[in-house]
Amino acid sequence: MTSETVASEGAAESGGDDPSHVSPPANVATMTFESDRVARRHFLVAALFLVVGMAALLLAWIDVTSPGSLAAPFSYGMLRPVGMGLIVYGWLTTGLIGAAYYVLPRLGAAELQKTGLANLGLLALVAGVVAGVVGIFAGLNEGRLLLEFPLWADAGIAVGLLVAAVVVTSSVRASGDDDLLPAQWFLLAAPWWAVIVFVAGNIPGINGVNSALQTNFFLASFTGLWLAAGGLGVVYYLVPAVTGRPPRRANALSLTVFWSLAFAWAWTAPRYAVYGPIPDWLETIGVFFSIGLLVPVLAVASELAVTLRGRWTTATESVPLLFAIAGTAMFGVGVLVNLMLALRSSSAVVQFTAWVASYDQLLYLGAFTFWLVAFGYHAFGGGASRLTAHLHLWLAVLSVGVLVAASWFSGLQAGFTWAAGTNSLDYASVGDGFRNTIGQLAGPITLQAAGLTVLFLAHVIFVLVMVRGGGPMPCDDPVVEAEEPEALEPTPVSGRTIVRGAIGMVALAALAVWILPSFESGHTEATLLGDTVRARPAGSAEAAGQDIYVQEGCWYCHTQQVRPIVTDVGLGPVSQAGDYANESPALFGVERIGPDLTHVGSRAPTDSAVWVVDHLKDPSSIRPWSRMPAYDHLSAQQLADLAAYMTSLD
Amino acid sequence: MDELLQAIEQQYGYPADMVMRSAQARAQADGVDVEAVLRAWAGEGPAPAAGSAPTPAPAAEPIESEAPATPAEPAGPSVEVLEPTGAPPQADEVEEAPAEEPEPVTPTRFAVPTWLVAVFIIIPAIAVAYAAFVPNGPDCGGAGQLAVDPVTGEAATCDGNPYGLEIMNFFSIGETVYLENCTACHGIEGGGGTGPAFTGGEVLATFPVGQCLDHVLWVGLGTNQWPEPTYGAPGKPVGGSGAVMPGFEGDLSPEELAAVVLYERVAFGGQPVSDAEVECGLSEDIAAAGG
Repeated sequence: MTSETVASEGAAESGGDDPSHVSPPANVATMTFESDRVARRHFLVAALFLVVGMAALLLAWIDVTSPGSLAAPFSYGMLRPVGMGLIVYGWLTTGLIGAAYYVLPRLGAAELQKTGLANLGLLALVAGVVAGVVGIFAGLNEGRLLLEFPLWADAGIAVGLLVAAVVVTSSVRASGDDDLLPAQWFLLAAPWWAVIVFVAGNIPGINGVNSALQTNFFLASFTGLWLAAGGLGVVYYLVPAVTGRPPRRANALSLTVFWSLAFAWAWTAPRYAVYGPIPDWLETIGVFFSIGLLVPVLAVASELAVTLRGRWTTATESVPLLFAIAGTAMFGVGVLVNLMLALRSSSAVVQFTAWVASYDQLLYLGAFTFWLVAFGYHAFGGGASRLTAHLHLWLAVLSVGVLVAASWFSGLQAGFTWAAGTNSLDYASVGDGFRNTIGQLAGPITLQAAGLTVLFLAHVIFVLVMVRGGGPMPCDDPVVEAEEPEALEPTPVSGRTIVRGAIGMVALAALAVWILPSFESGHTEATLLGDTVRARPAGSAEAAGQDIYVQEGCWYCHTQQVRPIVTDVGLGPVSQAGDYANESPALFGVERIGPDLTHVGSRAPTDSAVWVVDHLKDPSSIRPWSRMPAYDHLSAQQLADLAAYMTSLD
Repeated sequence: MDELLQAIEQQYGYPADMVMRSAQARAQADGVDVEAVLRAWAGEGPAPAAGSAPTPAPAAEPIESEAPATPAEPAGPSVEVLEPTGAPPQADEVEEAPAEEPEPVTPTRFAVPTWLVAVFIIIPAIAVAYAAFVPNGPDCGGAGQLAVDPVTGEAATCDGNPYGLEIMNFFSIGETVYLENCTACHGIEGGGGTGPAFTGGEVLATFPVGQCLDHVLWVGLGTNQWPEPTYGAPGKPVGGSGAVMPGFEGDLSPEELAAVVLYERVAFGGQPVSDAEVECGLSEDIAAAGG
């Protein structure tokens, strides 16, 4: 570039509008790539997974809203992992890969490499997701959050992620990887993170608390380093492209976003077990980095604000931009919810309440989905009428807002009720005290069902648009404003730096929050409880019952973890790491939609197998306020095993 | 330089970062200092390259013609020539320019607002303060107790010992431990084998009521570590039966040792469970809690 060009662009930026100075990558509409077909294929498949996944989540919640309204094998415990699996792997993962295949050739001005391999990767991914869903319905749930799919299904997903990483890397290399743009950093690093974290998270044979450390490391890293980082890569491309600006270049802010995100997110993993039976110092690390996560979020917001400065009119007219902005706002709020779940004082109230669900709603259904939808409209939404797109946008924003608001309300209600000692009021019978919380939550629960319905319908509109196709969505303000790119970076960021740095960072995090703590002696040395009632010899009725507990997804609504805080007083002795030493995986639980079951077999009437079987067959006949689905479709043997397991929980 | 930028921003309504970029481009083209350009635009200094002035940087002239930078216009009346304009215009290649004149560009590369930099420093500081000053775990209080259940009056402990509450079935725990560790020598029914029998009153004859803790000690230490030549009330010789009793201290937790002894005394000696629990120290917390 000559000095004349620089000067004239500088001048044009200050008042001129001559488009002849536009650098090619900015003028997206004029470029065509053969590889777009691969990208579109990925995105179409992803969009189909989105509606199926949303349908599953909606059905799952209907089962909570009015228990017993679904036919036998369909219950919250089955549909929730299916829905989340479809959303996270089918929709978000496949969609992000498709977006990367669309974006990277444009940023690097070179065709996508290895397109044949990319197609095979899509095939493996789809096979993995479908097999995983079938596996869950077949009773092969592995009992760990977002890792429910059986190993052979995980293999397909792992292959798909590896292919994406290889294709992305060689495509970036083909366009010269000495001086990359921020969008390229994210889209290059994220697939590598995804492969590493997904494979590490699926290593089988880890027992007790160490299996929970593994799950938590996976949850934090896969969310932050794959879904968030990849999504941000798309946003970094999308926002300048839609506003008609050249891509963001490396500067202090984008460097801050990338490296702080790369460094901090995986380290927040211990926050999933605040007050749990993990070392206290580890919890503090989780809190520390949950605070630190505010740095990349604020930096992203500033980047967005800088890019949009003076272009807000375009922003309010453009559907992709509105989705991107709404998604980024949800991203910020989601990170704040993460902080609320991490800080000990707030965690004592909101942990295990619907706030846990609000995190999922804000990030998986909110931010990441919105970013991908923004990309979908931008790249393939040309066939959408203005009205349709805006309808989708406002329905989606409204319904996610309703979901989150209802979650926050019911979460606070439940948390404060527990903290006030409601568990202890019915100390003698586990679960009876739960009536005090669940009875009050009928309103929010119904509201959430309504929200999920609207969100599902809104996304159906989106998928119809995607299937119809029609090329890129025209910009409402097509004037491409020429402008000097961002100030030059101090040193060019090369692809090698990014990939090495990314792998190094995630390895360091794994060492700190997973590998090193798993050598704590208390994690493998069983306590008395761990050696007796929680050690179930293979072939025993208790072991068979535990398998049913995992398969039926009981652990999505019931925790088995008593924390040393006032909220849990009355639930029995506080859980120690060694209690879980002989369990694989440790069933810490996710949320308390039903009562904690750590010591359910220690008190009347829940210590009676007869009572437990009766309750499983028809919970509402015994406790009319219960939100538990009936398990009368289980065989007598299965019910007996499950009851043996429950009553053994001393 | 920040004040200059703000002044220009207020005066013309252009975002500061865009002004800065324009100024850089202008400075590059004219071969002058960025700050001088900004000062001129802000109306505080002489124009670096006003069209009417005898400009020493003619190379920039043709580029200006198409779209004059708006902020430059108010500086028009000022016709003084800048000091640095004596320098020859830079070579055509942009890449060369920063190498020769690094200073003017360096501070503007990091276009991070000052307040944001402050926030980025404050957030980790808060995190460090949290790690340093907020207690690591729950506050267990002096007695290792977190709270007392208001209804039952029972204590919830957080000292790592989950057996402060009598909700464990020590008899069944003891049975499990016994079946796993003791049956090889003493028999499933306690009838003896390599080791002595427990049935027929034997167990309470050796360790009578009141001596449960001795019994626990014996099981924990075994024949090899037992400090005296005899054991039990009748003064049985250690190793007298010809077999070695292993010490289980390392393998079993204190509660497990007590539980297995309780099981032997209840199942084979006929002692009531509640008596054995008190005697073997498995219910002192209940007593302490007033239960």
